[in-house]
Amino acid sequence: MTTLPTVLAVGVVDQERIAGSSGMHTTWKRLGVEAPGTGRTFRAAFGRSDETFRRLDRCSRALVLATTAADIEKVLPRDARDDTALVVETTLGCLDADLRFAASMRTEMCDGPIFPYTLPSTSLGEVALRYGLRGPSICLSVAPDAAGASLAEASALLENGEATFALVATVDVLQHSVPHAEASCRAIAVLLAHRRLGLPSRIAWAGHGVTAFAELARSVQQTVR
Amino acid sequence: MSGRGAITGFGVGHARFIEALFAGDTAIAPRRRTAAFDVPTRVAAEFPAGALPRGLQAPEEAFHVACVAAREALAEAREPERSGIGLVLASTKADMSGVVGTGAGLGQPWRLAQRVAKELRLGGTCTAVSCACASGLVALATAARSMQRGQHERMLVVGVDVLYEFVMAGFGSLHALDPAPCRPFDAARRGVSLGEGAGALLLSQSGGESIGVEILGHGGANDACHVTGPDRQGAGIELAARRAIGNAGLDLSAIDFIHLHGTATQANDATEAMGLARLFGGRTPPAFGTKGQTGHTLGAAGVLETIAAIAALQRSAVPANVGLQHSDVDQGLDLVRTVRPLAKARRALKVASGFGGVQAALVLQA
Repeated sequence: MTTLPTVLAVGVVDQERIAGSSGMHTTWKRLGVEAPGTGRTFRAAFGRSDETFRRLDRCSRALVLATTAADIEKVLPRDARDDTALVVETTLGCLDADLRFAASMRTEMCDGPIFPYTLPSTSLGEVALRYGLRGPSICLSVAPDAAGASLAEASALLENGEATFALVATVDVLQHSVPHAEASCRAIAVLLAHRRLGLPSRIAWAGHGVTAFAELARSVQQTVR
Repeated sequence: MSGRGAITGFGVGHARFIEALFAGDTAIAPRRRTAAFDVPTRVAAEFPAGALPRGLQAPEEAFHVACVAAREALAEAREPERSGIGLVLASTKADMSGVVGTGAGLGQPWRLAQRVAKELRLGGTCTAVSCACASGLVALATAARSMQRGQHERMLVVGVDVLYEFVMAGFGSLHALDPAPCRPFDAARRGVSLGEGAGALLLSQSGGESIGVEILGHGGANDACHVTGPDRQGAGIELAARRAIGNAGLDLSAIDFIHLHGTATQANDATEAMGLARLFGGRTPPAFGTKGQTGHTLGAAGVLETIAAIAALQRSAVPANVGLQHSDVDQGLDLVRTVRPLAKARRALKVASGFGGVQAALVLQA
C-alpha cells in the first residue's frame, strides 16, 4: 500500500459555483451566466485576462476555471513544472464538442476549430500550456463506478518517481441531456505532491475511491467558509 | 509480452500484419466501405472485404475488432486463466453511433472497455485511455505501472479505432488529410491517411510465458505549447524518449532502432526528426514508421506499432519507410529505405504523439 500524496490545492467548478482552496469563491448567479460560462467568464471571475479562453470548448473552460480557482500558478513552484504530471479523467468524454461538430457536419462547412476538442487530451493540453507542465500526461475515460481512477494513477506516477507533482482533474460537461447522458457541469482540479517533499497541506484527503473527488471538493467548501 | 493480436487493413492476424510490413505492402487504397463519406481524400486503410462478418452493424465494429485482436493475443499466450487479467483499452472515439446516429455509443471508450472485458470474461480491473494518437503507448505504460504496483499479474492492452465519417471529416476540416496515400517524412508529404485497426498485447509477470520481448521502460511528457501542433523544436518527444530510456536504466547507445510516430503531416515529421536527432547527438539509430502502410489508426496505432517493433526485434531487421522517396527532415534521423538487417537488435525505442501535446515513449528489450 502506497502512502497518499500531499494535497496542495483544490479547485471546483459545478452548477452553482467556482471555488478554490485559495479562498476564491463566486457563483454563476453572481456572474450572471450559466456554468461553465462564456468567453468573458475568466475575466469576470478572476479579474484578469486569458488570451485564448474565448475559443475554448465548454470542457476546457470548466477545467481551466477549476485549475485557476486552485491557484496553481501560485502554489506550484516554477522549477517543478517539467516534473509535473497531468492526469485527467472524464465519464462523458467530449460529448458536448462531439455533438457540436456532428451538427456542423450537417451544414455547408464542418466546424474545424471545435474538432480538436472532441478529444479529451486537447482539454488536458489547454491546462498544460497555461502552466508549462511537461510531465507525463494521461487522459482516462472512466465509468461512473471507477471515478477517482486518475487520483490513483497520479499517485502511482509520483510513487514510481515519474513525476514530483501531479495536477489531477475530473471533468464532465454537457449542456443539454441526450439519450444515455444527462446534462452536467463539474470540474475538480487537485494538485498533489509526493509525500517525501514534506510540503504542508491544509486539505484533508481520506484516500482513493469513487468519492475521493467529491470529498476533496467538500474540503474546499470548508476551507472557504 | 506473452501474446499478440491484430486486425488491420491487411486483414486478420498479427502474422499477416507483420508479413505485409516487411514486404513493403500498403493497405492504403481507394475508399470502398467509406466511399460515401464526404471527406477530402480518395484513400484510407480500411479493413479488407471479408475481414468483418457480413451484416455487422456499424456500432458493433469497434467491439468486434477489439475482441478479435484480444482473442488472438490470449490464444498466443495459451489461454491463461482470465479471472485475474486486467484490461486497459486505448481508443480515441470508440463507438460514435449515438453521436452520428441513433445508437448508444457516445464516443466514451470506457463503455467499449466494459463490453470487451465482459465478453472476454476478464476478471481484473477495467481501464480506458483516451489520449488521442498517443493512447496506445499511454495504455501500455498504464498497464505496466499497474503490474509494477502488484495490482495484476497479467494485463491485456487493446488499442482500437474504426473509421467514422466524423473523424475523417474532422481531420479534413483541419486540412490534415493527404488526398492521396500518405508519405511520412517525404518532402512532398501532404498529411495523414487514416486507417482502422485493433491491436492487442498481453503482458505477463511470468517470464515463462514470454514471447521473448519485454517492456523495459516507459516515459511521458507534454509539449505544453500548443494543443494541436507539436513543439517546433521537437522538445516534447525528445523529453519523453529520454525519460523512457532513463526509466529503462539504459544509455542512449543501448537503443538499436526506433519505431517512429510519423504521421506525414509537415509539422509532426519535421519536429519528430529534430527532437530524436538531437536526443541521439546528431545521428539516430535506424528508424522506421509504418503509417505509410497501415494508415493512421489513431487509438490503435501505439499497440499495433509496438507489435511491429517486437517483430523487428525478433527478426533483427527493420522494414522500409513506405512512401518515402526524398526526405526533407533533419538528416540526423536515419530513415530506413529498404529492409535493413541489424547486427544487433536487442532494444527498441517506440514513440508517439497526440493532440494536447501528449508525448509517450516505450523501450522494448528482446
